[in-house]
Amino acid sequence: MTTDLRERLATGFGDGPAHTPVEEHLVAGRRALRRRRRLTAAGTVTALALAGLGSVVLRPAEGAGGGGPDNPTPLPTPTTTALPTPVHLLVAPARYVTADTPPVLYLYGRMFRRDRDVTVLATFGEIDVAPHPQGGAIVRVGGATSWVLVVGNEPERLDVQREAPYDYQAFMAWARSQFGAMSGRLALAATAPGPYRPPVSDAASPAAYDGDRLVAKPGGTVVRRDAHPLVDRSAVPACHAQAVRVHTAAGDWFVLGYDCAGQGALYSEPVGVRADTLSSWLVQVRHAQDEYEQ
Amino acid sequence: MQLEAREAAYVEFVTARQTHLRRIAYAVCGDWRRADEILRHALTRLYVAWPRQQREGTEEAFVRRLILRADGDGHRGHDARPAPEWTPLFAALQSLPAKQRRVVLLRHWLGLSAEETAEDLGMTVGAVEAHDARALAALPIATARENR
Repeated sequence: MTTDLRERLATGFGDGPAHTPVEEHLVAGRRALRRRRRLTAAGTVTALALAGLGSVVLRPAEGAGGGGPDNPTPLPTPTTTALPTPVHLLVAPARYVTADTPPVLYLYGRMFRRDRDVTVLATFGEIDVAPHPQGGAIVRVGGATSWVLVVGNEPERLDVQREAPYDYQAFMAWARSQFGAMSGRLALAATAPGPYRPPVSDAASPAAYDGDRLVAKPGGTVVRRDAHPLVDRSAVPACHAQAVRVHTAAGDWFVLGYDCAGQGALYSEPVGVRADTLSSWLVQVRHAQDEYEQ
Repeated sequence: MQLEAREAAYVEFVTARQTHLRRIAYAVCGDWRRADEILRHALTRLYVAWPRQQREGTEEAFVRRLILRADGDGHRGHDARPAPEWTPLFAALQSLPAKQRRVVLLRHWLGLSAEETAEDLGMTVGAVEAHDARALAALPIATARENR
């Protein structure tokens, strides 16, 4: 009977749609390995390693579409119109839900729905090579379909949302392009001493790229620059890191920027949160985020 | 191991076994999209663990175990929907409880012993045999044989 059953099980279904190219597995594996080995000098660098391997990360270049949390890539053309069976997610306890809670959130490493009004159409979870979870979902709330990405357990959470049609493949591609910068940005916030403060977006940063150069935004002045901060070149061979200290009327900031294959990301923190000089800040960020990534 | 050699061996393995492993994932979950997601996670972890798994010759078993355990974490329900190409046997397989479905796949499709199945699924041999007996009783095996 077993041989007969084996044949019938093996021929009980078709081959399905085309499978994922091997190169995509290779890229995902390299990305996971780099994080696992902590080859990067800092969590932010790890994030850019992801970016350097195919993610679309996000310096808002003039006139360009860009990508990432601060500068979303253009909406995809939907390739799927039929909505799937909703995915069952538990509803988060009310004490964890606030006005800014996204439709899905992580508690103790597990994804929850914000409330019963959220219908989860699909979920996407990155491999858990870091202690902080990162994943996303396509949800329907109030008749609108949205893509939601979340990094980190509550309350140390960074999320990004956009309204978009149900298209799982496009959603996954978008998710992979976002996680690098989101993870690095959350790592910077989560490892800062003192009360947790949400990550600083590129828009809120006192610095920005002007071509290939990191400069102060209007109203600020670069008072210190490190054109070649310590990073592991084997981890991010295609990325160029820069760091500046910016003086503004509201206070001084450290900003670490990466310019990776024509795109980049900024990681910003007020002076005094963990260091008072640019060099010591870079060292401490590297150590703290290195620990975060373990 | 040099990176180039490592990646060449990994690519060779994935190229050769991806179709089969993907079918296992599909048989476990009954949904191609979910199967691709499960396989992607498993192959990513294989890349990370490649030197040891290759040295010990356990590449396929490593991926298979990740696939078999991936969909049983309670993160989502078994939301497979019948596809037109499903045979009655495969449809019945999908209606089985998760553990029974996995035991049937390992024992009767992949041909693993009860001991190997128990190791893959993290259960005792007695539990494997019990799940196997219940599953076989529930599947339309006799009817299908009569119709051959």
